[in-house]
Amino acid sequence: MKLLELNPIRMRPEGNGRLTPVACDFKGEFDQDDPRVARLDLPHGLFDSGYSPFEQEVNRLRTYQGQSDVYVINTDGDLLPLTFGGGANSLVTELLGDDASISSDFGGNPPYEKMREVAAICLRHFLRQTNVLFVIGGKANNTDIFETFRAIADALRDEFARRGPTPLYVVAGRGGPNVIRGMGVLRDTCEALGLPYRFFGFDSDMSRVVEHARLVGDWMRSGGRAQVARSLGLSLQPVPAPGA
Amino acid sequence: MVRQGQPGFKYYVGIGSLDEIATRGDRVCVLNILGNESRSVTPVSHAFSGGNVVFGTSPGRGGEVLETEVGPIPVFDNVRDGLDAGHRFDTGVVYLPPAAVRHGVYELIRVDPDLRKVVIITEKVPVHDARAIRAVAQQAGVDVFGANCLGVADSWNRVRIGGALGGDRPDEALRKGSVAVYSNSGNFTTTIASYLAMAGWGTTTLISSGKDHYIHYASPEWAYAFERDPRSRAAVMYVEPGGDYEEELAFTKPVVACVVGRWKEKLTRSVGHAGAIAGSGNSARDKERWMMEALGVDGVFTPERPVFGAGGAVVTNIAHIPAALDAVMALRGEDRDFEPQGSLELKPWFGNAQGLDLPDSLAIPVVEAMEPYRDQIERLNRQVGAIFARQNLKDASGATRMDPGTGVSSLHGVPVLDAGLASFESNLCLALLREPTGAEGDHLTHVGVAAWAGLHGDPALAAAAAAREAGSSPSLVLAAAAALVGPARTERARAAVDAFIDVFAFAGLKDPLDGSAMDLDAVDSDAAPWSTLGPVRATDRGRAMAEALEARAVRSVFVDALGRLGAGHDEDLLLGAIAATLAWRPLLRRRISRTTARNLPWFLRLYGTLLGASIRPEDHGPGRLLGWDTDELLGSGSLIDLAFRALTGADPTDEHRVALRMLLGLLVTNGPGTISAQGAKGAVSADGPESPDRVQINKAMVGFLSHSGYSHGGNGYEGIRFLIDVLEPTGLVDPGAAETDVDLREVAREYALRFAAEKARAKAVGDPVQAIPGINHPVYRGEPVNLEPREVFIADFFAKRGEHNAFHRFYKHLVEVLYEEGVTRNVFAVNIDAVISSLLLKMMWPRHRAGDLDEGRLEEAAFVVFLYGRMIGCAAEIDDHINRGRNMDTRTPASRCRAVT
Repeated sequence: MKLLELNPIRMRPEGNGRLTPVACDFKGEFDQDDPRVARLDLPHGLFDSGYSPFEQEVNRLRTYQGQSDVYVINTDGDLLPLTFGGGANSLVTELLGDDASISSDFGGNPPYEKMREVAAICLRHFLRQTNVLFVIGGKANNTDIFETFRAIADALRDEFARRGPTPLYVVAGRGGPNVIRGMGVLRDTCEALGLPYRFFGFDSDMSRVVEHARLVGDWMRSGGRAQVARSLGLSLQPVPAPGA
Repeated sequence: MVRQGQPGFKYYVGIGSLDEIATRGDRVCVLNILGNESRSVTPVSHAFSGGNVVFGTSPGRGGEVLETEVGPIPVFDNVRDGLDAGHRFDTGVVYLPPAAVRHGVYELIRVDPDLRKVVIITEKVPVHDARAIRAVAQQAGVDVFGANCLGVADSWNRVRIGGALGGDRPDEALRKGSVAVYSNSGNFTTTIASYLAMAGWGTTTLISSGKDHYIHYASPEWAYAFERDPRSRAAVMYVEPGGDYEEELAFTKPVVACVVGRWKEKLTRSVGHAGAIAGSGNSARDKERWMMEALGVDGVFTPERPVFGAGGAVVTNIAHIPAALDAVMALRGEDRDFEPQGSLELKPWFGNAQGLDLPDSLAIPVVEAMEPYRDQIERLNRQVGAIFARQNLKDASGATRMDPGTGVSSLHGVPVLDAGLASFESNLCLALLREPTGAEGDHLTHVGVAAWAGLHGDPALAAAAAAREAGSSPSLVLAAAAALVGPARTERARAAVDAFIDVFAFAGLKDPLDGSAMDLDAVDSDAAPWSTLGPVRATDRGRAMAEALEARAVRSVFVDALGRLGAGHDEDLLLGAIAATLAWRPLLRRRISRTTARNLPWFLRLYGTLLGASIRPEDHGPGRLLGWDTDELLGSGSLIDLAFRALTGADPTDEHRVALRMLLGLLVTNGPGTISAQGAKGAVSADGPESPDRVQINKAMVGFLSHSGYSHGGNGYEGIRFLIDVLEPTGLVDPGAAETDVDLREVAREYALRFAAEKARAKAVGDPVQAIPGINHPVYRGEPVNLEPREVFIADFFAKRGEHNAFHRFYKHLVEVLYEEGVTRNVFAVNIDAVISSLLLKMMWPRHRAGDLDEGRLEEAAFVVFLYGRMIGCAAEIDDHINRGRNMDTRTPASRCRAVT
């Protein structure tokens, strides 16, 4: 357990006049990375209550090879940030605020298959309402940018193939091993899908890249989405109403 | 003996100064050195640090080595073995999976008395284990870094230990200078160092502390060592919420602290860094306040409102770190370490607005990247086609997959049920081009394949005939022919594809079917690429191919170009032109690799040869096949007509075409685990896909064919035999009629009762019970009524077309009456093999009843139809393995093999 809070504690008078403390309620937090928790045989699904279906789906892929942490910030957010690294996650979450649909960290060099599955889940849940797909991280130490970008690109292609195109602007900022090959794959995918895009290297201030993505979001909301829709040959699509 | 730690701490701290953290004298042992992450990271660290790793461990793999630029690192089963072999180390690096980390650290401490430092890279170490590690390390006098960190590095000593600070180019980020870096984020350790370098600041020691609940080497210990490091004039800290490590820090040297996470406090769960979650009293605001107190400032530094002092500054955005450091150091009268290397302006390396009307603020022009990235981008732009990452492809495939839930397999994302609706030609191409082709693609494919089906005068036909006479199975008959279509026979065609790419891709050709897309007069017939093709060889086959394309009204820029070069009737070059036309768009969109495009002529010729070899030798004649002359064969009809005539000797009706297409679609693939796919993949693996030009595609096809047989592929006949046995005696005339004279349910019931009696008898005497072909698939046991999704799909499909199949209907009755008569405990599923048998037998029934198709021919047809379908899926596996696989990756390690007595 990482945390145990007994609250309130009431004192019960015993027959001999002594007071015995009684815990009336408690709150506990288990360390879900600890296999010992499984030994408790807690009811299946106990931990699901606080998680959205989307989070539960991603959590199923949780392994020690690469992070796959997600948190839904705003179910109506129209920026979908796929973030690499805990630091980048803090920065992006801070700067995008409620514009972002999720807070995420996929760092730690996830293998291609896992990244593709995680990306597919994110896209399936959020792509239709998304104006900006934002792939962002610092200069990676060990995450293979080619593998992770290729996985995201393939998931994006699949999502377009499965449910048809949707107006989207792609912004990316990244550095690290194989960054050019990775950006190359993402570029080819955007070109094939006819999507506008801008990718920044690690020599651009990351917070300004985040700001750029936010401005693209503003533009998409005020007419850009309709323009992209026209260029994709889609009928005019309004920005999805909140809750849609 | 208890080690003496640094004075002033209530717990053990061994490091006295930052310059002791990563030194050239440290000797390192890496646990789980052959793990995925370590395998890519350790060689770079080792080479960068002058070869500081003395050995690694990997249980069960002792004796192996990890190759690096500066020589191999030996691997032992455990640490003790390494020490016994004479190696000595003082620093342990842990790459073990989370559950093993604790034991790994125990092992290091237990067996190595020289141990001083441990760096734990692993993420998701349980808090419970972190506490135990702390206790044991404290007792032994060992400093622990991490867990969930990226290790430590020293730019002065050119050493990095554990993890990968500086990534695959440590020299780029780890520039020698005067700033120490301490960061809760591994990635930001490198990113901050890059930002500092751009502003003219180098680094001393960089520490990625990790951000788990326990940070073993935390801010107080680091601040102590920073104060005592003469090289460090200043420091940068990157701090996230959670924990109270930053409370009561004190510095005499300037520090820029980046404290983030105000917004993140709204989150009730940690994302990314496990420990970055605020409890009471350790939020981002608290930490900002602590750091401001420590540094003597009263606000956050921003470019608009620069708050700083001689003691330092607090920022909340890492991009403001260089400016804050500049300001603080200028105030102190201290110079930068070197000239600034660049700026942090927005610099898009790639971008395309797709013609949209963007506001100026967003339309930032794409700039040239810094070296070496500029050069890489230039090379990327020159490259045609996709490049796939190589990986071990044993039991894995990038081409096919089987959904274990539904049993429906797919080829390049197209479920076999959908493939069953597409043309034969389109599926042949889907295997290699990763997307279906349109009508023009069908015409091109038809000509490119059918041209090689007529084998009169070709030694491949003699080989097939000899194999047939020797009593070999149909798969071996086809294999004999395939063996003769070696690389030399398609070398010119493949060279032609290369030439088309070299000449036309860089000339900007987008659509080779658009004749106006290119001014062919500008094609230089003396251009270098053409000279590799040798003298023109016009043939009658070449003439027929060209005329067939003409008759089918298919115009290709490449075919036209051949005409202008005077090579319009050269069969090899025409095959190359057809392949290049088919491959062009997926190639330019980087769906496929140049290797695939170059190999496409070989695949097309092999498809044709296999179709031809399945046809009896007496049906091949000069300029004739199955009664068609070559012009007719190439210029009209479709490959499904050819396949149908090859199987039945008759011409198909539309109904037949639909059924055979569906049949072939269903047979395309069952995922990479099938024996046929394994045979194909093994053959590629054995040739070594890392040298793709050496892989013999015809041999890989032989691998597929030799891995098809009477049990896998030929077993389709079992269902046919069963249906004939039961239904022929009933006098069934037309299995396609809506109503038959035969009461199928009654026939099924009689059979069920016979089967029950036989089963009881067999059980009584202990004989094995023969299963009924086409039902009783174990996957579907357990439900009251079991349905095979593919069978349901096909039944619906034909029902909607108003078509009937008495054999399929009989099967449906049979599973029900077996249940009604108590033979089975639930209604079994009619499986896909039953569907295949029913479809095939319906096609053959009239000729079988007429006595034209004897049992042998029926069995052969059932086998051959499997081979037609499966050659599509196996071609995809072969191409995929050539593009993505590793040499010999399908072998099984000796440790996983068993000896049987």
